[in-house]
Amino acid sequence: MVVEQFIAAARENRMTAHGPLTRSVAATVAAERAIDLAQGRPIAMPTNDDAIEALGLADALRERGAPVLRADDEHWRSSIGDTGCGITSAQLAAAATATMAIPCGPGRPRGTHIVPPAHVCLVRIGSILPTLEDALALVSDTPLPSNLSWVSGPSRTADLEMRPTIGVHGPCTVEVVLVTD
Amino acid sequence: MSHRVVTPGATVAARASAAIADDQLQAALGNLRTRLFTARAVATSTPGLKDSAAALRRETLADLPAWLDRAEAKLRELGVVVHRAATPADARRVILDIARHEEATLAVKSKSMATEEIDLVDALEAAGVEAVETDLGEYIVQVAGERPSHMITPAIHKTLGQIAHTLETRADGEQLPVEHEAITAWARAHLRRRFLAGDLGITGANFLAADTGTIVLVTNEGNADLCTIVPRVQIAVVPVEKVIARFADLPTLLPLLTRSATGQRISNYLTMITGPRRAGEIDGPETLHVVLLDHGRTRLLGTPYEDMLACIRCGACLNVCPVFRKISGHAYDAVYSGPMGKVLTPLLSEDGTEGRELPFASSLCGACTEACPVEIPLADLLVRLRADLRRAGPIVPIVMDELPEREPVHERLPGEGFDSPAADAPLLSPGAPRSAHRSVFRAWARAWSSPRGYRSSTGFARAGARLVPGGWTGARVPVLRAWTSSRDAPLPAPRSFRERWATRDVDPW
Repeated sequence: MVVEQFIAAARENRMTAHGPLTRSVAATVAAERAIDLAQGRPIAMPTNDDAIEALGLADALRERGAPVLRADDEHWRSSIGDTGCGITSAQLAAAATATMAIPCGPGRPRGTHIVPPAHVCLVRIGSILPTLEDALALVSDTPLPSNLSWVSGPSRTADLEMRPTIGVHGPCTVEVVLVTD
Repeated sequence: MSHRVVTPGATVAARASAAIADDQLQAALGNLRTRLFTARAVATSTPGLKDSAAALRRETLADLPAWLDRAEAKLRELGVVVHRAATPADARRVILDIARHEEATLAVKSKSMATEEIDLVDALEAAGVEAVETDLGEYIVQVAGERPSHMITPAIHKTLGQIAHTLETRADGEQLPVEHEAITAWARAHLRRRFLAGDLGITGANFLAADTGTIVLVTNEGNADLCTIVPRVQIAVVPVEKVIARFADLPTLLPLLTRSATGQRISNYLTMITGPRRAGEIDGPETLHVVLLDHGRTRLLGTPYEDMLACIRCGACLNVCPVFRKISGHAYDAVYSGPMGKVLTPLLSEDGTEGRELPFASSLCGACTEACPVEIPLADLLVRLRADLRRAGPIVPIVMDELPEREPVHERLPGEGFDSPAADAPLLSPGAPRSAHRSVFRAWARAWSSPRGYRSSTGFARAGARLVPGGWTGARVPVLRAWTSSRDAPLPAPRSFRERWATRDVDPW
């Protein structure tokens, strides 16, 4: 139920949702979508993200010969601006608004979801709660990271004659890969 | 202050007249229509949420100094440098000291009304620090040398053509197509270089949770995220009333803010910052400063104006205001415009001189009160302010210039009427002393305090109307000229409701 709701809301917020997919299929889809969106530029990826590790995404990208910028790269800060896509995973998600909570931490830089022009986010379907209110309530009981970003779609503005226009500063494209538990 | 006055005129009435005569402005303001419906829909659809949010805001305000102390202690525990600034000058001094100490040359800013309040961009630029607004609307008004005209959509007063023209001044001779996507793409490429080079990130805060020390920023563009990722130093300018008691209050307050502001169920980016970069992290600010700005706010605590501090800056009252929707933000010549600006501007004024005429430029229709998601009685506060300001000194009367004929009468800016008669067409007689006004109003109040007095006075009015063929518009009845210069004085019906009720003659007119 929440999964269907999430997919519908994601579409409404101008995101593409894939799945739900099993881990191995999800790894293939996430890797191929990221490569496609990056258009030959490097793909930014955390080093310390359980969901990404569990999928073996780094291997999937390497097999396909895609250039990758990992969070342990000493040139991360100077190179992140040249990447073509960022891959993250959500700690939690809210179905009603297709919102994904993306925490930062060691090995999980906060620029991954926002600096590259495209963003692929992994969402475990077991982490989807009905509403943002539910997700916020759950987060308020846990220690907070130094930065927690709640993303509900591509960057957009209504500053030009109040017409919604996509892709002003952050990603122009956000794709979600739903992963079965 | 270097901001150009875009809507000319020395008084709010003169600026309003100029705004109404500005065809480009009126065309741009047509875009506010959707926001009007949004504000109305939210006002009627979420009564339960409004009540809870209003209660949460009042709970914090009732004990604000204690919650501020709690927030400050928590922030310090997280390694945040906390500054208290009593005045805008104090805030500027603190921030310029930081910029100097950090040898900053480029500050990237996300949108913040608090930084407008302290004129931060001008102060930074004067100190040799380039300051770039990154919210697209805010960037447009910065390039134009203006102030934001609306706290949520700062460039709502400009048409797309005007925006393209404005941005071309930064486009190295390139001509920008008058097209939404093209302008957005240009701004993205242009501002991205600045984001990645900034050494100082400046933000406001939509909320600051006292129990966790979390700064909450709400954007659709993602520029607040960008302003807090690359720069090694972040400064958040937080007006004291942004403090909320608990992080757990956010599930109530955040959805109400985004819905009231834009009608979205949610804004695209909610950014929650809890302390500076931690051990092992490779981006985010190494140093995080929070400047708690008072600027006259705590002196409102315990007064009838305390309610105004509940404001969450959603802009809903601007969107429903019949005055704002006609004259836009610049006519107020203040940082905060619209109904909340009319209340807040004189209250925040350090020397009591700013915005004194603003509370009088209102029809008191009450749409703002109804739209407010945290139930601030804006119309009541306006009335109270009128009385308090008048006691404090003389008020420039609101006199509108002749309005263009194309305006339907009911859409005209209501003048201030009885309280402030036009200087050249006084309500009673030329040079009538204020005591004469007062005695007329006293007599009126006495008459209408009894059913009998009410009946006989309306009888007189109907009798009088019969003596004026064609009705008593201002030109024909001199004593009403001031009143009708900006509003209608409709004729009484030939028979009163009471008379018709007595004979059950209920056919309309």
